[in-house]
Amino acid sequence: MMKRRQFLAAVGGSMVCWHSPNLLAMQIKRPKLVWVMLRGAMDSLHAVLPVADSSLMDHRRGLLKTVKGQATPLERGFALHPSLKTFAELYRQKQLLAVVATSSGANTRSHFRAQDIVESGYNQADAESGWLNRAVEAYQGESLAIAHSLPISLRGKHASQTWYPDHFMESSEDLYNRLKYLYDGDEQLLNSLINGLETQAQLGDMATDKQQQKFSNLALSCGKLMQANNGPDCSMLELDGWDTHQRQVYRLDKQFTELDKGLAALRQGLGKQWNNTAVIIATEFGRTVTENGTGGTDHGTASALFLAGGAVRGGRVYGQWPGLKKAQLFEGRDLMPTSDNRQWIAALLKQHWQLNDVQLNTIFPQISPMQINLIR
Amino acid sequence: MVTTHAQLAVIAVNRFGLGARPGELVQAAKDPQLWLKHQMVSPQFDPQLADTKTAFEQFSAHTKVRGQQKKIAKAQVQSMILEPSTVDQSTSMQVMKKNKAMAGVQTRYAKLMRQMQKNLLMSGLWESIETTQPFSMRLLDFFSNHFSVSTSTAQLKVVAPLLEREAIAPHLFGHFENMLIAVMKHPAMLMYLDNTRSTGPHSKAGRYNKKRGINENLAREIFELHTLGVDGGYHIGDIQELAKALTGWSVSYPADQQQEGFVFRENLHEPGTRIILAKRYRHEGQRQVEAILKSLARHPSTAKFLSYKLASHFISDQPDPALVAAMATRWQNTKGNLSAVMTTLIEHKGSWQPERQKFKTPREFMVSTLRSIGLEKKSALGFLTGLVYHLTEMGQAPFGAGSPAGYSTYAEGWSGSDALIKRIDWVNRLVTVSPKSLLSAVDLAQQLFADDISERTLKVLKGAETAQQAYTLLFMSPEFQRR
Repeated sequence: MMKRRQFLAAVGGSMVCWHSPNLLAMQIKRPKLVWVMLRGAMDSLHAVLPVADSSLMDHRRGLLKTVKGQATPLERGFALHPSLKTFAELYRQKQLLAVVATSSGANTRSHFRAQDIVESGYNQADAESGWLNRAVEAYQGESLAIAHSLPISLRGKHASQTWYPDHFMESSEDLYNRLKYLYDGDEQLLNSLINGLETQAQLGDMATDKQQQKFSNLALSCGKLMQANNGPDCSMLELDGWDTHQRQVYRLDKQFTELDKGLAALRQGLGKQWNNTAVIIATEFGRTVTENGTGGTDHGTASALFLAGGAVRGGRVYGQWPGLKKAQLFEGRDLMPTSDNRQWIAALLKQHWQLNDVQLNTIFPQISPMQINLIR
Repeated sequence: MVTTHAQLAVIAVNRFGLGARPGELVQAAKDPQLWLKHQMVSPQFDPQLADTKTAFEQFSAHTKVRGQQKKIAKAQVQSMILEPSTVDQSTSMQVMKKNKAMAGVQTRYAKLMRQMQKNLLMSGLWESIETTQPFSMRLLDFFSNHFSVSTSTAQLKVVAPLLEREAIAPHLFGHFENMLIAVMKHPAMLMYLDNTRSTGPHSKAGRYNKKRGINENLAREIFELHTLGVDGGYHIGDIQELAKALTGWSVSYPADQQQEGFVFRENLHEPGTRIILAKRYRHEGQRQVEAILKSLARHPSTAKFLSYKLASHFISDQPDPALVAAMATRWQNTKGNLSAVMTTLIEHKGSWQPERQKFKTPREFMVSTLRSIGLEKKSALGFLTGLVYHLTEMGQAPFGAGSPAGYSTYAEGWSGSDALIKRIDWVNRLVTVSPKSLLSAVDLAQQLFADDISERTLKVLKGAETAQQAYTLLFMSPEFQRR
């Protein structure tokens, strides 16, 4: 199979490749994957509320005041935060599921360390190799990060592209060609240049004003880039601002709204490809079960995971619920993890991309995939 | 490989400094190490710029105005609800007029704050572009990022950029513990990491109001990011103890007699002895935290963590272990004397490998580009008034890391495909608008790198279509992108 980059080199870097009929044929029915990383530790108890757990109110009366009664009921005694409107709609359409009380596999309450671990997919952080990179390598696909530079999730042996909207004017073709010559022999710079130009060409005239940097617009562009013929098989989006040590009620309202609009925009951008897509939404760890002294929550352990998309068998809440009584908490303060995010992601990769156990073991070593049908 | 004197000067100017201004390479070539050592004094800043005291005066004046405004609005609504018939035209007109005046005050305030912030951020850039102490400015950048604070709230917009000026710069070549204490007392850090209202459960305020409690955020980051590092050998119990000790470390405005707006609130402070890393600290008010910070600053893990971070900031993403070890030993022998540690960095042979091992961050790239063409703030018009914005576009907004871990110092953080395209587009724009330099790109390359430039790059510069294109190619060359 000719890889697109080789193809580009063969036609002298011209950007007409997606009109090629055999590449077009190749694209049909390639399942898409979107990985959304929520940085800063999302409070899962504020997103998927365990309303049937009688201890909930003892821990966080203040935090729940405005949410109570407005949350969307889910199965098994859970409810969705009212700002997650698209999430609720997708749940009803059986295109979204939540997993409660999952851990990211990171045995630390440090954001940065935990994010690195989540992104690398190993038990220890490896900044040179991301899980999504290994997955897309096994799948022999193309990947894109909506970011200025490559996040750890997509770092590794398999080449990846990055894209982020800006406002500088574009430079001339002649200049780019001279730079390609200048970077001959400098692999790092040459690869960055070629990948950057390729992405720029795919986006064409998509407007690039300040609004474009909002999460929902990034998600929209991401969807458009992915649904284009010969668009990438997987992509990564990031949304930060989840570290709600204070004023959590107000801040999470805003965060959930932004995330929710983003998911709606992603669906819009993907168009028909939405039915072919699975979206994974995860964070590095959860937050303390009890409200702190400044109207927020501190770093905790287990959190929640969302899977969404037309390809997902949704309308469910998975994950064993550990309970919120003091004795049931991890180290007396955090939600106890009852599964590992990677078990769910591994199951999804197996069913969505048909990866085998050997491949899965290189992506998430020693993690056994959940035996549950997550994909239609 | 034999390294010539000129090559050493190129390393001093580019790797330790911020790229050559016209004539700087010649200066450095006389004695590259001495050239660096002479720069080791705290940088001075424009005294005309805002400081925390003036910013806090503005905050408190504004809070008063807003309070009045709310009162008026409330009274207005009340009177209309209670006795609608008695509301005559003239009183309601009066209220509206007053309201309008208040709104004007608020707009003026917001404008003033924006202006203060803009001045601070622009000055920060231009100080680096114009400085004759690039080595010390680079060290300031390091610590400013080490103690990263972001302009996440309206108040932090002005106060965050002041942290490096008021708390870091004065201690840049002193003992690390003094810098650490000054940073933790600065309102920017206390506000950014949510410590101002953190309340001990056994403090006066905590006993009175059970809802108030401790916020661990600052204590955690002190261990993880500022001193020992995440693998430095501390436990959650140490964090909790430090968080208790830190209760009461708060801010007050207006900043009356207190230092830069710092205030120790005894009524929030958790009383008692604290045990941290198996050492006991007696209850003695704010001095308890000062004593803790001093021992954290001198801890062997801190010496190692900071030495590694400094070496990877200045020298290489994978610094020579011998260099890091030498710096850490010096740190421990001198109780964290930064001047001594930096001298070790300068004198160690591991710092002078000829290969360029650091990919420039967007800020380093922007500053070195503008330095090389010898630009001055007074001549900066048009496109150049947007530098802060351009840096934001390139992914490194000043005081906008959005995380207390700061920006990445490693190549992977900045060498992505999108980041590179942005650099090309920015430089391309810059060379079309900047005042013309008399030098050709080839001569400018000589001024920056002496003979340390590849045949290929020279060939590309000579073959450029226009003088401007040659400049773009020079600034985007591998030689210029790395240091």
